[in-house]
Amino acid sequence: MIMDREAYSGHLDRILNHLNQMADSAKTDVTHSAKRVILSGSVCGFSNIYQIVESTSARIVADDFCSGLRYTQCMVPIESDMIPAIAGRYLDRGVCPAKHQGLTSRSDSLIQLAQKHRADGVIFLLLKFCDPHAFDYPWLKSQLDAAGIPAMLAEIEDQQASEGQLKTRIEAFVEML
Amino acid sequence: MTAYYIDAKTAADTGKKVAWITSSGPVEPLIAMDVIPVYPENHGTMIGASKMGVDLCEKAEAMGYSRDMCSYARADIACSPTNGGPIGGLPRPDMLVCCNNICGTVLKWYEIQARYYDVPLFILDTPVIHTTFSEAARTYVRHQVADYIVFLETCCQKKMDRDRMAEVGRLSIQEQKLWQSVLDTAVNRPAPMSAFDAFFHLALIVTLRGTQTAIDYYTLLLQEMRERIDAGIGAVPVERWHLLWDNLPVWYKTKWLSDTFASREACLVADTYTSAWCSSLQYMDETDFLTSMADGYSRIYLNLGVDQMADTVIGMIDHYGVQGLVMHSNRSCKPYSLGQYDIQKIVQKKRGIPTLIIEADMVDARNFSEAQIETRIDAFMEMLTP
Repeated sequence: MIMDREAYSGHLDRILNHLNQMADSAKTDVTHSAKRVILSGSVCGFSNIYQIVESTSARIVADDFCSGLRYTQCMVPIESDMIPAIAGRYLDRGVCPAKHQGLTSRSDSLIQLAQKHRADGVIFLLLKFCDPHAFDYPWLKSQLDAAGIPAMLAEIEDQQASEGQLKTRIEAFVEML
Repeated sequence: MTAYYIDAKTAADTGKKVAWITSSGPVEPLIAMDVIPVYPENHGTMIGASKMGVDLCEKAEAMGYSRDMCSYARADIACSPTNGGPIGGLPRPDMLVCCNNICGTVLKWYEIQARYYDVPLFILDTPVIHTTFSEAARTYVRHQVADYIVFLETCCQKKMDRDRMAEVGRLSIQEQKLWQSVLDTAVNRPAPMSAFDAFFHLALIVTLRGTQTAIDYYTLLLQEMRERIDAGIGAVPVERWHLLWDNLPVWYKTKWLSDTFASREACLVADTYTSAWCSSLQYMDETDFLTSMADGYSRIYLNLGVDQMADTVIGMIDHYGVQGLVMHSNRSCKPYSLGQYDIQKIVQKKRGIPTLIIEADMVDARNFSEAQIETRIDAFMEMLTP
């Protein structure tokens, strides 16, 4: 979001190589028995969450964050007129829940994401006072329940203080999966 | 109002269609199409005033809704599956009409209800006017108004009678003028009515806008206010201080607040809330109501940038000659409360009058601390100067 594009592009190449190597070694690794979870929610400035979740027997297989998957979703077709193409992408990608994009688009895409990544569970991390996400949560939870995908909710502050408590809750959730 | 609610509650028997609509939403086309408009926010008001808010908010929290969210929305959402509240729940909607000129909350609230009742939802998106209402924004909203008419014609399976629409538009503008005249009577000394009276009489301009009933009501009310002015009858027994209220009322504490201020010889002569139902009158065109709706529904108080809101507040301070400003920082209503500290500073700088911020909530009484607020009111009253 804020890095120089040239520098960022170089980093992405290296990360991609690294991830491919990890994927190859993972084929023979025992961690494939790990529980597969998806993180869903608003802007997530709480980077320790990845270590906290993966310190349990769970692995994060995808995310549905405003600052994650939904930020990078959809490509701008570069062969077309750029301004309409950029505008088109804003309309096509999964929108911020403060805007309207159908009544079930968010639950449909979350369940598809979970199925595509064979997720065992979803952890919602909602930034306190981000109302659009808080309003969507009961519906998303009910649809995940109907699809047989367990979910838990953690409301987080911008500056997370109680990591230990959150870790205990996530451990309990992962054990339940 | 009782007749209106009986009409709405029995719509299924009389074959009339019911639309749920946001409080500052474009209701006139519904009236013109003989659809009964029902206001979940007005429902929230009744829930708050009948002190049923906490119970219903707790039910919504048990359904998974965060306590930080709007208490109107929580209370209304909890009423749907439980038929709770003072009138046993609202009549089932045939369609939902959501205009986001007041907040983004209504969008999520109406999405939830559209899924629950499985009915069509129309969204009128009015971009926030941070500085000026651009031509692009005007065109965008006008297109949606045209879409809105098509939506209604599809839901009702009949064409809109344009003559009837024009007539409803004329009535609506006439009512808004009447309502403004009623509010304006509070410039008199003693003021024949207070903001607490306005909170009550507001019901019709919200729910029955565009009908003859509202015209008759406000004509009568205006006449009564003029009689009170002539007779020198004030809203409070002793009127020494004149104050302006900002934000929604605290519905479960209106009497207490009214008594508390009255006993300190203060009359809240005006408020930014009830005046919002005639705040865009200057942009409404009686001869072409539908076209002027884009401006009329976009340029309301809550859809403006903070600088323009502050200008409105200062205009009211001057018009009503108040010596102090009371601001309700309403935990439920974030768009109303977000800019208040800035508006407070602007008012203090430009008019130098004392200001008081009361932290509370319009429906959820768990966020009201009576003793604390009374102490703050006392401290504020000491700061007032004639």
